[in-house]
Amino acid sequence: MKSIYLIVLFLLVGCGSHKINNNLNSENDAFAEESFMRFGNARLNKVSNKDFLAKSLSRCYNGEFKTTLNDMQKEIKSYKNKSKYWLYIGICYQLYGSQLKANYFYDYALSGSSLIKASIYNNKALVALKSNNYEGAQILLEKAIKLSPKSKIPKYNLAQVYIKFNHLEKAKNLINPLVNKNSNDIDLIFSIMTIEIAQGNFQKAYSWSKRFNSNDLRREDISLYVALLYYELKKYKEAKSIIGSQRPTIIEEINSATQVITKKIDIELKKIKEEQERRESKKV
Amino acid sequence: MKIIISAIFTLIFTFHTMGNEKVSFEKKKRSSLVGMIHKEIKTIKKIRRRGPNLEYRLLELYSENLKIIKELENNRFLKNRNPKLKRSYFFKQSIQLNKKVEKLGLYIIKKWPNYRSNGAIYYTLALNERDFNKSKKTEYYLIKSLRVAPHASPIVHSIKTALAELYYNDKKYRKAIKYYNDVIKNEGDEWYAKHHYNLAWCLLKVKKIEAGLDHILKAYQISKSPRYVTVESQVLDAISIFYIQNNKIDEGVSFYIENVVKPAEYLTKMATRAQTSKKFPEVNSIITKGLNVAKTRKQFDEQVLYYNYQLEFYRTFKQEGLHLKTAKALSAIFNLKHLKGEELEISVKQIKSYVGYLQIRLAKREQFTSQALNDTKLNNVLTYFNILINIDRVNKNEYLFYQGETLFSVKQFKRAYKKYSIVLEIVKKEKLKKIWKEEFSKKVINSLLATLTKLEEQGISNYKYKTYVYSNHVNLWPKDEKSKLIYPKLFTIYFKNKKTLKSIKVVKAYNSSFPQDLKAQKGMFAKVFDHYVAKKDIKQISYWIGQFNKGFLSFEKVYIKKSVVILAGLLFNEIDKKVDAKDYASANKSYQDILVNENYPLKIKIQTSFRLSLLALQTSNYKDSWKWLKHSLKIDNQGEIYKEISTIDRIISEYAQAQEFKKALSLSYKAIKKYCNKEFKEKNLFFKKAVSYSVIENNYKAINILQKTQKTCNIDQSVVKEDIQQFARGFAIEGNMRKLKFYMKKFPKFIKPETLTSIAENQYWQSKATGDESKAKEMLRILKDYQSPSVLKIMSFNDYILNFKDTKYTFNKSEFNGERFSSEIEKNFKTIKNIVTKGLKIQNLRHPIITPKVSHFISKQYKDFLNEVTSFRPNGFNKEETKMFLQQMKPLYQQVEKEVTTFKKQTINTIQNNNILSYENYKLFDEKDFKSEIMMRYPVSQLAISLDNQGIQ
Repeated sequence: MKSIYLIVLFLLVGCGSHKINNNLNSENDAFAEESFMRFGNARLNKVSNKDFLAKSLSRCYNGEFKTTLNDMQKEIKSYKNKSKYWLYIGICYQLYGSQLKANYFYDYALSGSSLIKASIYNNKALVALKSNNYEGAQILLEKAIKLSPKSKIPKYNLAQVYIKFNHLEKAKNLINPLVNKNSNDIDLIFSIMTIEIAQGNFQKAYSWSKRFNSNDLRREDISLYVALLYYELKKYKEAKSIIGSQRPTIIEEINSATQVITKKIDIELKKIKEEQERRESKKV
Repeated sequence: MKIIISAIFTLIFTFHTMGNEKVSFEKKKRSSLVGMIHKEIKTIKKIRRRGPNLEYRLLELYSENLKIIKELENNRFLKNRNPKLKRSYFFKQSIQLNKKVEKLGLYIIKKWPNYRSNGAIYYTLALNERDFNKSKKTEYYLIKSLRVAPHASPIVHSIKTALAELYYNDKKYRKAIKYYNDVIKNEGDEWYAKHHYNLAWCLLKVKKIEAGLDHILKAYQISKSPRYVTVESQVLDAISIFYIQNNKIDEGVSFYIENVVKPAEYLTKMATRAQTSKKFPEVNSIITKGLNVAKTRKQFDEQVLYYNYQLEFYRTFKQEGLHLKTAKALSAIFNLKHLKGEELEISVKQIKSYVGYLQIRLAKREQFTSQALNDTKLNNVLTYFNILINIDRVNKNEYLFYQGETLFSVKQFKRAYKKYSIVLEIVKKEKLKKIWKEEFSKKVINSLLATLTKLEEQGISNYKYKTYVYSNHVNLWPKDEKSKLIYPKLFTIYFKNKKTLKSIKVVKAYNSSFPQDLKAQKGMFAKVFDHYVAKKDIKQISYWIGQFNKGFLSFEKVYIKKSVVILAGLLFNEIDKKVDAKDYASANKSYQDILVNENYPLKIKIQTSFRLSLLALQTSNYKDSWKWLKHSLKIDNQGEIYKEISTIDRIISEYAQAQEFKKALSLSYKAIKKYCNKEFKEKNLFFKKAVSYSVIENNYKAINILQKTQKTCNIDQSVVKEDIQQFARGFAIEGNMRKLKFYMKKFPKFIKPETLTSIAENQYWQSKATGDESKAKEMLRILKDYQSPSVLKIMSFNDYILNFKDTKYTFNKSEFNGERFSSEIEKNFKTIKNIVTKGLKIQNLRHPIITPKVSHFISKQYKDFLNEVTSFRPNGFNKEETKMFLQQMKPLYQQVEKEVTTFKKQTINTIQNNNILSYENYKLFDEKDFKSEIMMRYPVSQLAISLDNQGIQ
């Protein structure tokens, strides 16, 4: 029984992603300077060795936690006075899943610049978001934005919170400047598209959706919301097609929403089919 | 070997036997003679009428017997050991017999006055008187004998000879001469030479010195003939006097030289005799001539005699130069091995005596005479001693010493020192061979000490002199009272001249001999130790600390402790330099060397281990750092690490900074446990850190242990309050209720329940939004358990909804009645109003999630009422009437519509203005909108991005 359970778990993990794969090319990455999170292996491996800290962080993003932390330990004397050093150790531990240790090192980095502090609050907000502590995340993100008004990511992240809780104008105010500067960033496109969908501006949403390529449309969140858009546009077949090509995922939120929309799409398709059959039978 | 011993014993036995045989032979002979005499006496006495011949024969026999008796008496007298027995006791018999003989003789003469042998009888009596009665009547009887003896009889010569000898012996020289003149006429007397000899003396005595010389020369000549008894030796012995008296020194010298093969004996005697009346040159010429002859004849023994004589002679006549020359000559002869035995003894004695005299004179004159004179005299004295050293090697030491003394007396201290030191070296060798004379050696060293004092006064004493003298004194007499005073001086000299090892040896020797002077010795050694400290001689310092610990000079523990501190400082100072120069490998090796070196005390090793830990820490080698730290804590039974408690604190922080939380935790805990009973300011800090690291490491067991330790070690738990609260906030952000519950249990006073309840409430509302009633129920229970103030609000809201969710707004569908319809409108309005009023009360609880929900609920109630009222058609009304009815109802519809919109807007505004993050926000905006189902599930956490700023400078 246990082995069956493990196999199932393995399959689930193996087949379905537990994280949205939102790796981007460098030219499309609006946040390339601010985060390694959407780099992907190829881009991460290209990070230069000249900057030890940056390289170490990239290695953490690549999953090389133990060796990277070890190397950073060895270089403690060289970098102990740099708050960035502590920040990156914290980020590594956070990526590794050891939040207590991450917080420990974030505390050291708190003596750094506003930019560093903003990073800490932003990244702590990610923890809050993961545990659905949106109020806590909102407070942290607002702090981060206040500390570093020029940083894009905290604004982006706060916009996501606003999108989830229907504070769409606030979300739009945050996303618009970002997407205007880099209209090739998929996550920004997705965000603005979602806002338009939520606000009922389906045509505008539709024009944004046209920027996704076929690969983008396989992404579980994009496929879900584009399918929703098509549903709202009553393009049920397209909606069905898109939701059909969705990458398997174990993300609960997406899975449950997908189930809802799929059901809805199927109902509408059934209605259409029935209507068609009725018309055809009338003709006959 | 056995054969040799047997032979020796045989020889000894033989000689003893032969001696005994000789004695017994003489005894036999004597007794035989006595027997014969007695026999003859007896025979004669048998004859009653004896004539003069027989009586004379009897007289002769008695005289013979008398001689024998006298001989025996003499023997007995000589063998006597009893001083109380007088001479008369032994010679009684002979005296008696002598009287008897005298009596007999006088009887014969009286009885037969004309007996022809009366002369002989008187002569015999005279001789007996001479031999047995101290010559009391010898002259009387001789003269009597001469008177009665027949003229020209042979006895007359004998009588005259006896008279001459008597007078000669009695110093009646003139009388003696008278008779000798007659005696020497008899050339047939075998004593002829003797008579000339005696006559020569008598003549000399009466100042007829020329005649005396002639006769003595004659006596010498006559002695050459075998007819006569020789008096050669007497003549040789005495003739010098005659030559001297006759002022014929040269002749005398020539006489001896010509007649004696080895005339030195006589010439020296002659010289001695000449001294009384002659001046130095004459006397000297005697010896000089004799010496020259001896040299010519290569007679070294003769030369020695002359030289020895000269020594005394020149001394008497104060001929220093000649004396020295003589001494040198003797030394030369000694070198040729011709000066030995008794003569050598004489030479040594003479020279010794003379040089002693010169010494004294030198010392006394030194104040008054010129330097040049003193130098010559001094050199002479030294030369004499050198001569003595040569010829009397056995006493070489003594002479060298006296040379030293001589030099000292004339203030030539440096030279004196050299001499003394030579002697001392010899003495030391003798000591090794166990043949030294301690008293003499003491004199030598004392002289050296005295010389040293003088050299110091003159300001020319130096390190070499002082150390030589002092060191030898203490080596030879380590326990002497003078050495007791010397040890400190010697130490000071060595020490000042940086001869540290020697100075240490002195202290040791001092301590060995005078252990009671420990205090002084400690003071001395402390200087040495201070010197090593100043020189930073780590090897020596560590060695001596080891010795201190073994009890060397019983140094107090305080001193040893201080020394260890100094050693540690030095040791580590050197290594610190390496560390500063970033030569970590070398520094590490140095520390390792200390650890394996058994000479270093435990204290140093504890500190070394600790330092190794710090060094490893410096090179970011945390594994080794921890290893050494653990080791140092383990072996520390002296509280050494406790002194570094603030450093321990730093290390803990560094470990944590280096992500070594387990090590940081272990160290914090170990420090608390080890120093549990001590009060120090870092104690609470260690506890605080230990708790933090335990939380970070999710080590719940450690938390439990620490809480127990906190009580045992009297630590204030409130020091971790802020940290626990911070951790709690972190758990709250993560939504980790399990951990929050655990730590709330462990630290109930530190974590507020609202930290947990805020998570529970958040999850409650999420569960409610997603329809997960069981989870919502669970969360509500937690809220209740922790007495969250939100429980009342939630319960109130839930009750509110429960009360009014099924509210229906109905109208009677039967025949339309205006009044009835109005009352129904009023009733429905009243119901809504009630809902609104109740809703306001709920809203007054000011819950961000509940307030808009209430507005939304009220809006929905108005909507439901509006739907009902707008869909109502009065029963029995036609089209026109219905149209009119609807027209009349319009204001009401608008009013209700307005309420719907108002409360809807209120919902939206409340949400937007207060930035409320409710999961039902989309539904609250438009519950019919299908999007809300999708939008409320928007995957924010998946889309959120970390902020690294890796590309921003």
